[in-house]
Amino acid sequence: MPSIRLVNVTKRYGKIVAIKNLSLTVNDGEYLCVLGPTGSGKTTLLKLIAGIIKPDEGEIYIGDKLVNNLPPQERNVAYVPQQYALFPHLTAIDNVAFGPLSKGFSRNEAYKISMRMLEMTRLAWRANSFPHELSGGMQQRLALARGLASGAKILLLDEPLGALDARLRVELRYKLREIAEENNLTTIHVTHDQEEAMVVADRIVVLRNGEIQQEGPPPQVYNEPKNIFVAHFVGEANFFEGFVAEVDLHGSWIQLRNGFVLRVNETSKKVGEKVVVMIREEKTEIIKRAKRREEINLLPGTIREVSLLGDFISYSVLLDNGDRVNSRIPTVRGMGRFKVGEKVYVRLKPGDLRVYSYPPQGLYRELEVI
Amino acid sequence: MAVKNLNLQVKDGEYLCVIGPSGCGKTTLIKCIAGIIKPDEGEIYIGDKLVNNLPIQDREIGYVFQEIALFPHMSVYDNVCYSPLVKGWKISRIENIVKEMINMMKLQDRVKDYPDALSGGAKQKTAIARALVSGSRLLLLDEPLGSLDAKVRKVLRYELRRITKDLNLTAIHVTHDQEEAMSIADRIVVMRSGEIVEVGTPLELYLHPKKLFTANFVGEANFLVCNLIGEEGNYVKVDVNGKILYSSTKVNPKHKRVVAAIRPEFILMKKTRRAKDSWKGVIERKAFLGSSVRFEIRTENDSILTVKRPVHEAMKFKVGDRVNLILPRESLLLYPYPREGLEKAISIE
Amino acid sequence: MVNYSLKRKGMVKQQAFTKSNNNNNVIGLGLTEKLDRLSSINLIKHLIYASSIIFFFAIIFFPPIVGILRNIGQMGAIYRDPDLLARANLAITQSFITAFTVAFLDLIAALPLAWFIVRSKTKIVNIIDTLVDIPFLIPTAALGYSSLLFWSSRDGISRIFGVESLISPGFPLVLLLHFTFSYPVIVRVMVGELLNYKEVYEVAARTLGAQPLTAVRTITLPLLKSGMIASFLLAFARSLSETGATVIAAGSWENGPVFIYRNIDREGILVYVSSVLILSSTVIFFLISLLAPKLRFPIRRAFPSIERKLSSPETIKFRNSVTLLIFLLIVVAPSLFIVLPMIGALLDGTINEMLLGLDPWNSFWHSMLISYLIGTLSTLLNIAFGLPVAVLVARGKLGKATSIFEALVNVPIIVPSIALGVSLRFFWGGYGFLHEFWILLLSHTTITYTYFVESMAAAIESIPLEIEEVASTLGARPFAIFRKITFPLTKYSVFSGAVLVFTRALGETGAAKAVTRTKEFSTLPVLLVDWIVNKQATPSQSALGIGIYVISAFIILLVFRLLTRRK
Repeated sequence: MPSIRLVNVTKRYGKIVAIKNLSLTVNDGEYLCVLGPTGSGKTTLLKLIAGIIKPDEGEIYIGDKLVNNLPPQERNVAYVPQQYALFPHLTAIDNVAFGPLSKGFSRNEAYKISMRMLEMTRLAWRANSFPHELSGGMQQRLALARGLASGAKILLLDEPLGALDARLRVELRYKLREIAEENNLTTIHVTHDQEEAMVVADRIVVLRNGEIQQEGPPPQVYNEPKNIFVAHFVGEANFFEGFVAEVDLHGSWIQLRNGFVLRVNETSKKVGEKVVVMIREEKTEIIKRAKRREEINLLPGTIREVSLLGDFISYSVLLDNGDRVNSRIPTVRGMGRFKVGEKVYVRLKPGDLRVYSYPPQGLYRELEVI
Repeated sequence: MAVKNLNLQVKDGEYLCVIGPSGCGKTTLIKCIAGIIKPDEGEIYIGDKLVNNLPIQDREIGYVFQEIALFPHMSVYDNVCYSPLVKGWKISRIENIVKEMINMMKLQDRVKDYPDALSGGAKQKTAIARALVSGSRLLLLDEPLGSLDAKVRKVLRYELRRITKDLNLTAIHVTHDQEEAMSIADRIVVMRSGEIVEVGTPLELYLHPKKLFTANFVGEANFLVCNLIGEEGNYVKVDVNGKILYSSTKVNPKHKRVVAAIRPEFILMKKTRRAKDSWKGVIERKAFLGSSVRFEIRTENDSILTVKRPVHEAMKFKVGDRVNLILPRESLLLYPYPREGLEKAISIE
Repeated sequence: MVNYSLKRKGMVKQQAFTKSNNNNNVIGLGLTEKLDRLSSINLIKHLIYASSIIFFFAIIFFPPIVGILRNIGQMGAIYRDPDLLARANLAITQSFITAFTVAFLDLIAALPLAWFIVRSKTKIVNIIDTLVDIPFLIPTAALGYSSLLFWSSRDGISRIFGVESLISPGFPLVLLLHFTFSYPVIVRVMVGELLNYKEVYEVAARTLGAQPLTAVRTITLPLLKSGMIASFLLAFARSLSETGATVIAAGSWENGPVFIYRNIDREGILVYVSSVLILSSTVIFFLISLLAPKLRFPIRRAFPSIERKLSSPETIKFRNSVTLLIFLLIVVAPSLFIVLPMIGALLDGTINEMLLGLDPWNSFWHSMLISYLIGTLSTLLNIAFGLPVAVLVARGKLGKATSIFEALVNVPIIVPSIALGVSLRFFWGGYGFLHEFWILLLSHTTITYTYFVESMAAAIESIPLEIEEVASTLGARPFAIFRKITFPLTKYSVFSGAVLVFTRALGETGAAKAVTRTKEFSTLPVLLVDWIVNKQATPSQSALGIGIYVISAFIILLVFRLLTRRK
């Protein structure tokens, strides 16, 4: 079972640099998710590994072999593109048999393998249907079966669930993981949906404009985001602009807008430095009354919006200093607790606050998704 | 049949979401309201006016398309100006209103850009601005966020609600994403195979879905097939493969077989033994979701239950742990066993 | 629905994805395996592409240019005959005036019909759709004769008006004729464009309050601009180039091709006229392609009340009626008129002479054989050497040079074919050893090359690149991908491209006339035009000859339809 290694890979399209000096290692049997917004280079990354395009700089290794000049048909990689690219003129089983037949299997062998693949993806009963006769979910499974039929041990999935309904996406993401596990595959699953990535991945790589922002197991990326982009893209977070007022042995005091002050455990920033403070929405507590007046990190504000998200309720609070925060509470607990217009306090534990240097292009630009 | 004998009333100023799986008829519905498709039977009223024979351009509606459909040969500014222009408004009036709308949608930096230079989110904001500038009181949105990244969707959906409420408009927003609907709708219409399954506020559909399909489509649920034993005090007693559970839902005693449904986030999970209600099991899978963790538990009588707990609570559990599950009686909903079978009744494909 | 259009605008018939034949002939397996393996060797791949590019430049592109340049000295002769020179210049000007007028009128008249075909829900749409193709499929020489009989002869439409000849041979008749045979081209291109056009834009405009006519004017037409320009240019090129029919209809009037036809042996003036035509048509063509996209529709003003009235069902009915009337009267009727005298010829015994091979019918059959042979061979040549070029162009394999290369590939159809024929005669004639037949073959190949390449390129482009990419990741080598994926999906276009080439070759008069030295190698259209213009056959014989000519072109189509229907 091979691993994949990219070393200092760069790929340009004219003036645009799609992948910038990227190095990445994927271990045997790992389920890796590459997470990033549209245009971050995710598809380019997969195509480089599949051999459809060549890197301008750097090396790509599959197993121990340097594959830069190895054409796609020799790489033994299962590539499932975003729109599946099923062969429209072939039936389901002919689509699946294409791989084994191309690799030289006898007709008998090839069709035996194909039937097995279709059974694994629960499509055996539609073996003689054409792609356009199948539903979206079935097409996705067919594309998967086709990719795996020739025995490839590396699976490259480009937004595999993108074309499906939201509910279906939730159901099928576990199936993908199951198939990868059952067949001992090394998988790279590319997506822009961070919830999807966190659920299925052993490790997440966050990509932005062709550069890796952070990589690690989901809990690590989620709880210890290295920069503002990762904090914002993975999960939901609140951000405060401010500057460092005081630093001591155990932490710092950050001055926010209009006189509010936050205590953080960060000591590495200098006095006067402009910073951004971040806290996860589900760690942002709302309380009705302060227990003690002198409690730190207690910010008064008013509830502006209540929004049901399913198993969580989101409260949007306009703080008295003008900043805006969201708080997520499990629906069971948060239902009906606060009303729009109610005056409340937002309580932030110093241990949950992370401090980042102020981004050079401004906070709005950095958070900009639209 | 795309839509079957459908009856619906939308209140003035309401933000209504219509949700359902692909092919359920929600797009057909909204296109009928817009006049893009003509109904074979029945009447459509906008305000007091019967609009069946009114052509699209005279219905005074704003429409936002899933494919966005910005005019590719026009800049953002020209796109937004289009509606008042073709309606023959005076130039000065047009300029004022368009400027206001562009500021409201924060598109000032992009006025001179052409659609192919815009990001997905910017395109959709332009499309919304273009639809709103026409002055229509009714806004129809056909999967408006469908072509956008997950993150962009989450941010833009609140913009949609904010703008419609600020301008006092009535909105009908069609989507397949139930989380999207729940977060911004005043009321939600659940559709399936051309028919309305259920209508209610997000909270109603979430806490007390009246139909099995709704229970599965809006949020997630565990489904257990059980036998109705009888009533015990204020509660109904059911038997799931030997395990006795209680529910506060009233159900007609003539149904011998029922389906019990409970949402993963309502099931309590403890390590220590507690009430006699508790159900023993073993954790088979654990998945980190960010703010919560999702578990798969195999109970002692071989049922599989999905449980979701907030992350701080969930940290102490590992795969392989023995646990006790508590299914609160108010959260366990009962439904008569469906004629077409459970799988077909809740299927979302 | 048939969906032909030249030049990349929906040149593809809407592909009905048909079941592949699961016949893996064991015998062939060894050979295909070897070919597959060879195809992944870069050297072989480059060799195939290189040889097809060399073919293009050596056989198609450079010979006409070199042929003219080498004989440029002969142009001196023109100064010795100022009257002839004046006549020549007039003819050239007339060519362009006619072409512009015809293309413009055709665009205005054909666009509503294309709209009708795509948008109308009535049952007659299918009939109209079929009828549209007829003038396109009939060889132009036949169209010319049919039009002549319809408009000018005593037995045609003149009878209804009680005159000898409603429209005599001359400029007006030529105008009508060119209008007729360029009309289907525009309809086909615009139908393709409309089918590809996303109606959602119009719907969006209407939800914003635009009357249907306003939506069409401000949204649809601007978005169809490139299609309109392309179809304009095609009609323009066709009018500029056509020889056979124009000669029949011209009377004493002359345009470029007619002039060359009448002065085919005076080499000096030929060089002059040919080179001027070639140069000016290329220049004007590129000028239009560059400048026309800059034209803007008036989209900033709206006239709600007027446009509301003009969008009413009554106005639409009126517009459709006028369009259909023009279509039936000016396009269909003149094209089909030949059927009447042909039936007459069948009844009056001419057919017996024909079957017996009596004079002049022996030369008729001989010419038909030549035409079919030339047609078949040029089709095969074009498939063999045009296919790799189509792949190159469709997949942009030459990088930035691809668009320049594609422009060059399009040159042969921009240039009037008779001028092309003249220059080829000069070029190949220089190689005395080359038999006339081969020169004939090469010139027909040159003229039809572009049609095949463009239709194939369009078909290949319509296959998403992703499909071929995935196939390669599944282990298939380049030739295997072509065999199992690209070809099955474009099979229809290969065949329809081949049919297009064949019928075009069969219909070519100008170049054939320019190249033919001896009567022995007259192709069928050249022979027939000769009969008609020089009154070398009786009207009955001409009618029958033309009729058989048309049927022979249709037979190919019938065979094609039968072959593809089975799938």
